[in-house]
Amino acid sequence: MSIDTPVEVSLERRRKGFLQRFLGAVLRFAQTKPIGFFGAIVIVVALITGVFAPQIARQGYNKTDIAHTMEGPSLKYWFGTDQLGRDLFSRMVWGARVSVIIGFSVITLATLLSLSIGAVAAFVGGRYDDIVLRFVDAFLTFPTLVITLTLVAILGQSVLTIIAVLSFSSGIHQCRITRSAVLAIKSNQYMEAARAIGASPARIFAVYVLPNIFPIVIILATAALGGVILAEASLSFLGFGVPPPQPTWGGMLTGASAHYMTENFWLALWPGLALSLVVYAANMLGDALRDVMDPRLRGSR
Amino acid sequence: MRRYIIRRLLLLIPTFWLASTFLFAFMRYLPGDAAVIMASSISRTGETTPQIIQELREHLGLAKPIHEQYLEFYWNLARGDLGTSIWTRLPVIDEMRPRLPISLQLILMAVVIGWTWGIVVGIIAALKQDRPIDYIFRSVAIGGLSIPVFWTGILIIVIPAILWGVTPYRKFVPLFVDPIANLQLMIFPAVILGIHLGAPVMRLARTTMLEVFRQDYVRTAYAKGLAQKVVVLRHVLRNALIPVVTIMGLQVIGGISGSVILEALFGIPGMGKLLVQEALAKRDYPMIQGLNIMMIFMVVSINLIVDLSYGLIDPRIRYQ
Repeated sequence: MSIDTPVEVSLERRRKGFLQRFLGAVLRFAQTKPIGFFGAIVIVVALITGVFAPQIARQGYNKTDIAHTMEGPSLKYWFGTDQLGRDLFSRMVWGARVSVIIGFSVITLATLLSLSIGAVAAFVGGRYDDIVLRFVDAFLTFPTLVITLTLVAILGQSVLTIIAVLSFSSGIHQCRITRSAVLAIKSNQYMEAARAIGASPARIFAVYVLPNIFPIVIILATAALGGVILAEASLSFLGFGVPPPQPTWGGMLTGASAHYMTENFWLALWPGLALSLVVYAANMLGDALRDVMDPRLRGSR
Repeated sequence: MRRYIIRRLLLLIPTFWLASTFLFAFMRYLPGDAAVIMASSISRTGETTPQIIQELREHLGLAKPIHEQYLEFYWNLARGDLGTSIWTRLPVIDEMRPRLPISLQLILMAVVIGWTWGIVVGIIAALKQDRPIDYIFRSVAIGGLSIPVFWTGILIIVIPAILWGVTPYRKFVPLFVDPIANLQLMIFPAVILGIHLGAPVMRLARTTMLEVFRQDYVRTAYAKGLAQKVVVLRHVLRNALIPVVTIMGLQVIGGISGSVILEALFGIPGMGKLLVQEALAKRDYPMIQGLNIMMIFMVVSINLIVDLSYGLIDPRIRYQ
């Protein structure tokens, strides 16, 4: 016991220290980058809305109310109703769920993909790097929207295929940047030192490479979030997104409801406003993180 | 410069070959048998017989061994044959011919608007750093990045209709039939897309201008008493634009994606509308493949032009 106790105490202290440091960093971020902090708040709110959609939505997204169609905002229907009397607020909340699920899973998978292709290629170097770079360049000659539309149409429309297709395309697009990030640190002396003490390539990659490109990876992922949400909305807008009846922000701006927008402007307002706000927030957060974590990257987008 | 051009041209071949091979592989190896999907969309009941599927497979050339299909694909490509549409039974190339100029017109208008506003406004914002005009232009750029083009398009169609009962939405008229009627429709998607495409150009032009302004040789230029105009045009602009040119090429590629959305929204009968509302919606595989090939070809050509102009602006590039 007498040995265990001090260890626990020191662990406790360190954990508290971490939390305090984290809160301190957040506070500093909020002071120096107020717009970026606002962006972070919007993203967190969107995330919570998406995760707790069943609790936040006031009714099911397909519940119709024939007596109240095409209404403006009211106490009963906060955002108004559409041509079938469906509650726009509930549909917006459920739409947030699609945007958030697809947005966050895509940036996670895309980051993993760009690390395992771009970062590894630069780390291994030589022939392998050349070949990978050729393949990446060839894929980049497809206009993004055209190839994602084509792949979704071939694979069939579902949340999973959309996540897969967008992750693939977004990950390949990030490859070049992760690759150059690894190239930039490769010539550092600590890499040589690691090799000299006999660390295996896998260990060098995990312990020396990954932590050092971490800031760039985080910035890339945040910057990609807005683009991914826009891409999902564009697919839905063109009719190749998550299939109905699931409401999506992009899908709410097209199809049947498009014919009623001149009669009830709220139909056009909410989905576009939400999309713009979330994408704006993601862009601003990405910019602010870049300025704070790695100012050298400024202007790379 | 000639050697540089030749090297760039030769580099196009492997890129185009790899990209078209990807497409070939996507169309044949991804789950979802083209013949089965097409057979079920042809029949009203959704029922298919193995016989229909087999016939379709032969018509599509999918019954042959894969290496024969692959060689045939390139042989046809070399002759300018992109296959025959399943639905209209017309050669894909003939379906594209009237639509390609329409898309090119939209993309070109949008890109010219985008580049112009991106560079001019980027320069003005850099010259007036941290003044109100700088903040206004930067906000417009961020809005252009964040607001989806299809929403701006919808607002431009819907708001005048609600307020004044008019709408910019009208029937498409080819440019050479009636230029004014054509531009009355095309100017809206072109400006929307242009602002979207020009936003990153503006932001990058502004930052690189500010960076170059801090260089010693700019201070020297001012010190020897040159006028502001001369310093900006001769000393700052050319150096600041080098990184901007790369991103300008990317914006043209982005313009192809953007034109797909705006053609669908504004009912402009270009390649994008053909892709979304005909080829993809009806799973017309030869048409999907042909349109993709055409767009890869457009991107590869744009990349070539960007590379060449890069070498023209920055002589150092040519000797690498």
